[in-house]
Amino acid sequence: MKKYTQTILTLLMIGLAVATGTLLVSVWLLPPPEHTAVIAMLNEDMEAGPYPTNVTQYSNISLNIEVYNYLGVVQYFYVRTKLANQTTMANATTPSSASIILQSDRILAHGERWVIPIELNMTTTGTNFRLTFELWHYNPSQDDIIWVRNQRGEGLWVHLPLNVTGP
Amino acid sequence: MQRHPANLILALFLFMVALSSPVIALTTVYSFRYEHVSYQPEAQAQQAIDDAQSAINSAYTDLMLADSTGASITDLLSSLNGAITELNQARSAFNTTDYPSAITLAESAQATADSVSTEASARRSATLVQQQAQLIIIIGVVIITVFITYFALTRIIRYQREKKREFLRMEIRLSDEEDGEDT
Repeated sequence: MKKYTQTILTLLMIGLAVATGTLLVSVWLLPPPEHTAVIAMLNEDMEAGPYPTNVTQYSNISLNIEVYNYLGVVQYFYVRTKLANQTTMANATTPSSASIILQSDRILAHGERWVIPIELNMTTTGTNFRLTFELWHYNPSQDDIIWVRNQRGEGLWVHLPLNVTGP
Repeated sequence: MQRHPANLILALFLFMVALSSPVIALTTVYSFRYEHVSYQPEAQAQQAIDDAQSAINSAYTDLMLADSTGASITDLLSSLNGAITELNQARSAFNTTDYPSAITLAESAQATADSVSTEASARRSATLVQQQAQLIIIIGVVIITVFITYFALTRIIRYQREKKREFLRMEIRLSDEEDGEDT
């Protein structure tokens, strides 16, 4: 009788080991879901180009900014619009130092898409402007709005090179 | 009886004081309101906007916690985005110096955010309780399954063992009978 009990216990242990092994393999070997956010720029027809890069003063610029939340949980996003030049433009590590000319904010669920129609009237003239759109989010632990970065630590932003000529 | 002129002056003075005291009191009250409440609408509107933003941030934190526990938050998310829209409208009104509208909109945004915050916390608690109950049920089912399997397997093995013994006994009996026939 003792021999059969040992057999049953051994079978149960083998079953448990197989179940645990399967779970661990699925956790360690399968690639983890990538948690990221996306910001993209579309023209007024909701297409990825052509964009209005040469405009006249006082004319309207129509664009759409698209934001996706794939960060796994609900996020409170801000899209900050800045008119930068070559010295104040954003790079991978630093947001643009130009002042904010427009700001939109919205809370997105995981997997949700947000389209922001942008209508701007350019009152200043000049060349090599960078109409920059940066993605920021509210961080409750810091009680502050911080720049959203991808898994490589690069900030998320898009920009439109812009030349504004006199009327 | 002759009235003294000093008494007359005193009576006149008291009469004037009595007459002017409500005026003084009202002036004091209105000057206080001028300084602190009614005549600083810009500061009041700014305060209402700041309070609404804090309430939205707090509601967002509660919403994020509820979302991470798996609670349903779709309707709350929609309400909170409505509060954000109202707050942005309040800021627009503030920028056009329409302070009464800014205050009304900001207070409405704050009320919505506060209600979202309360509801999100309640749903998070309810979901946690539900998850604990589910965990207890799963553990219970696993334990019962293990016991039933163990019991069933031991009975099956015992039955098979008895059948084998019985078969062996039959074989022995048969060989005994064959031995008897030979002799």
